[in-house]
Amino acid sequence: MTGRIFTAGSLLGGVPTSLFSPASPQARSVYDLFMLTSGVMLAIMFFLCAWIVYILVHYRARPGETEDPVPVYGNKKLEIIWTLIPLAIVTVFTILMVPTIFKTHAEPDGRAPDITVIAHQWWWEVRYPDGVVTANEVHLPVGRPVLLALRTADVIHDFWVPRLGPKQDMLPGQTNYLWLQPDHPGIYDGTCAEYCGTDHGWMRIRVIAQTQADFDSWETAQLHPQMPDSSALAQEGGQIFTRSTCTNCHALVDAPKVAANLAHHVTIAPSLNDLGDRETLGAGTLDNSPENLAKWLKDPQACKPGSNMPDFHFSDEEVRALTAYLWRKSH
Amino acid sequence: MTDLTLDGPVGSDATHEHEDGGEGLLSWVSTVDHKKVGLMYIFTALFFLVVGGVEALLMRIQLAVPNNHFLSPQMYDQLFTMHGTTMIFLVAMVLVNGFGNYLIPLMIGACDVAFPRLNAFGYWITLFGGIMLNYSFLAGGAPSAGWFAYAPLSLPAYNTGTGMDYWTLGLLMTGIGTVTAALNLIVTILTLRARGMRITQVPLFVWMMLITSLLVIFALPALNAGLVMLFVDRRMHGMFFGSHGSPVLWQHFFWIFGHPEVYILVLPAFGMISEIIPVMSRKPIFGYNFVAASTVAIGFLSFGVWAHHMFAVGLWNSALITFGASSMLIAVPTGVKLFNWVATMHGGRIRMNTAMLFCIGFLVQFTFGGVTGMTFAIVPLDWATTDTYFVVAHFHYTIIGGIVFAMMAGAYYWFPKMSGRMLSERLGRWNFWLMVIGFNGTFFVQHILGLLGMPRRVASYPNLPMWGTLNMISTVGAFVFGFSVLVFVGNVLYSVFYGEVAGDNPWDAWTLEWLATSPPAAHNFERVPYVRSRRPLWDAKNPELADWRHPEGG
Repeated sequence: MTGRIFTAGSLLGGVPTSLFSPASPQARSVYDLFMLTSGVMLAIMFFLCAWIVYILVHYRARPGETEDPVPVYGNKKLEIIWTLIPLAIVTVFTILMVPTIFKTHAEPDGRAPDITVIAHQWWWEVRYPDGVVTANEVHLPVGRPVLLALRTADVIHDFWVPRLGPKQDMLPGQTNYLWLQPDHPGIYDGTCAEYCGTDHGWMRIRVIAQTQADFDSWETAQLHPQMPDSSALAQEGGQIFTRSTCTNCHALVDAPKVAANLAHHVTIAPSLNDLGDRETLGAGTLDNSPENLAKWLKDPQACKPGSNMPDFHFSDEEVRALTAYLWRKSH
Repeated sequence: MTDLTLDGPVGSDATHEHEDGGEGLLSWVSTVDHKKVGLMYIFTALFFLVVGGVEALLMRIQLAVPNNHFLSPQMYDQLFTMHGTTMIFLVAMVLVNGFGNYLIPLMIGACDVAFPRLNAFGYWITLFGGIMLNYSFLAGGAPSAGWFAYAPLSLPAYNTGTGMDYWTLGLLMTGIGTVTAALNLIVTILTLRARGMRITQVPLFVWMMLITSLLVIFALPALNAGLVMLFVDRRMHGMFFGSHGSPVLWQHFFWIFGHPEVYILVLPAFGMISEIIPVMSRKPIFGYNFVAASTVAIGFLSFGVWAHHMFAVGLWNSALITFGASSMLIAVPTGVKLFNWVATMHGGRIRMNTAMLFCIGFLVQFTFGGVTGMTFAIVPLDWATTDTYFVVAHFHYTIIGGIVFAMMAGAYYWFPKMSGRMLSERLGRWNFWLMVIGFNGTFFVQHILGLLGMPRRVASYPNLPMWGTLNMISTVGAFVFGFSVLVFVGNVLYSVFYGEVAGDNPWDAWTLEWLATSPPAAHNFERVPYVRSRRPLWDAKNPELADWRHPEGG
């Protein structure tokens, strides 16, 4: 790995969102172009600084030197040289840039997207063609390029998973596309990169790349969401859930075999099916665990100030019941 | 000394009355004198610099550690919006107008600008625009859609309250002020030059202010029109930029203004560098024609690159390639300038005073800002780095490392002319080195943060490896920078009263402003020589080596 040659390189590459550890063909071609052009630019910078240092050593006025040097007004040959050299460099850069654009920029050409991601203030809705709907994480199989269709439900957002390649804005009334093609199974951190209001900083996303077999079993499980367990606590939680109008915003399947209907459900807030399977709560605000879910339910505004989730002032008992009802894990 | 032939009083329109009567407040409020208007612009810019600086420091406190709760996200959003808006429209633009107003008539041997009353109007409407914008803090909340106010986030559906309305109207007022100032300077430069001074003989600062003013005339109306449309959308249920209109249209309007704006700000800084480096190196500028012509090239190119701010919105490939290539082209005339400045120093007798130190700081830091800027012209690299802390670092290198350092050089260079006293060199050294350490400490690490995936405009951030450490370094740097600004303000206050008396021409400089007394009389000059070259005061002092005797010097 080119980024890991130096100790500093491995330090920088160790950050989960680092551009120094590209993990897809798209990200790698951008990274290679970045290292090449940065190298050339830094060399020019180094030359200019060396020239300035040389001048400061040789041409400082010494005490007693009061006479001004004989005027020199310019040199046409030099001007031509230092116009043509930068011109040549930017020409080369342009030529290098074009293939990388074509390699990384997704234009669907009639191909149906594999996954649709719809950005909301301040979370991500992720839809699959077979009706699976999840939130704040994109599961995908490795080994082939996956085409994402990117849309927004409100303001402009931007889908960005640094280790997997370019970022892409999501604009009202427009669908944009992006290739995701991780080299290896793993979890890739990302975030909304276009300022979108109060909780822009806590609109994080994860790409979970899996082998085809793992992905298939995940998708099958999502098509048949877990039902609440039959404990009295969970049953009570179900009643609180209905009573508190949670379903006005959140989708949650209570009966088997209706998961596909979610494809037509109005989505104002994340679907809660198989909530226990998710990596995080509140779009990256908290690690997902029953304890953190209880914390979230108790006071969402303390966890994520400005979030659209209102504080229902649930009692501790209600929170316990709701947690038992909501936190379901498929495996 | 044929070139010092005195040709009688200048002042083709020296008829307007000056309120020379007093030194009281009324003399400032009622003045139409370009020097007083210029100083008022500069003081206004300094005031708003403190305002915008405090906003920046509050943000840096919030970002010092991960998951911080020092500020609410709503307050943080208001602060970064107001910080950007204030620094661009109420500090940098106002400072440019201030130096331009003060210096241009003196540099071309005129007694005032062409339209003194319009000039005063431009200042006051700019000031009132700035006050109106900041009043929003008291009127229920400042604007919070970022300094480029992307729709639909800036529309009432997502931005309730009146903050954005204060933003549109306040900027419209300063925009009108800026356009009048630019018109005024263009006419002044074209019509009020001293006898004999050809347009190719004006000091490079004047030349660059001419191009800047032309850019203002063509760029600001796009913003002003966009602001009116945004206001119609917000208050009269218009449909320009909302979901029934086009959010991308706003981006086009904003950036066809916004990118030339970058050059509107940086060209005057280039002009100052082009004045100070020759004087401190004791050599004429290397390649005057090329420095001037490259400015014109930058001016034209600046109108053909705006879409590089929009590479991630989903443009088609041919547009991406075109705008990528045109943006890269700007590096060519900018490079020409850098090489000419360094070539001017080469073979000189360089005086290493504070003004020159700031020039050298400018050369190095601005070049680095240019190096990182290449990243935003090469489209795929823009996709990787835009909207991250890398772009924050990049434009602060050009704006602070470039423009502010040049303005500091200008302040040390022209303060003697404006006040009659020298700024303290000892405090100047402290000022310079603290500023270098503070500035680079704040912003260099932000490049790394961006490359490590930290997006810009986040009120708090997760505790990822290195993010906290780098942000803490940045915050400490910001406070060092803030302290260096205080040293500068202290130097100004000290030197106004106790500084060494400057005399008319303390730097042994060559342009006409140094012929006037320090500070200049209300009518600027008693007599102005017939100008035969770019360096009239050099010609007077060195008749044997006069510039006009040399084929390339005139």
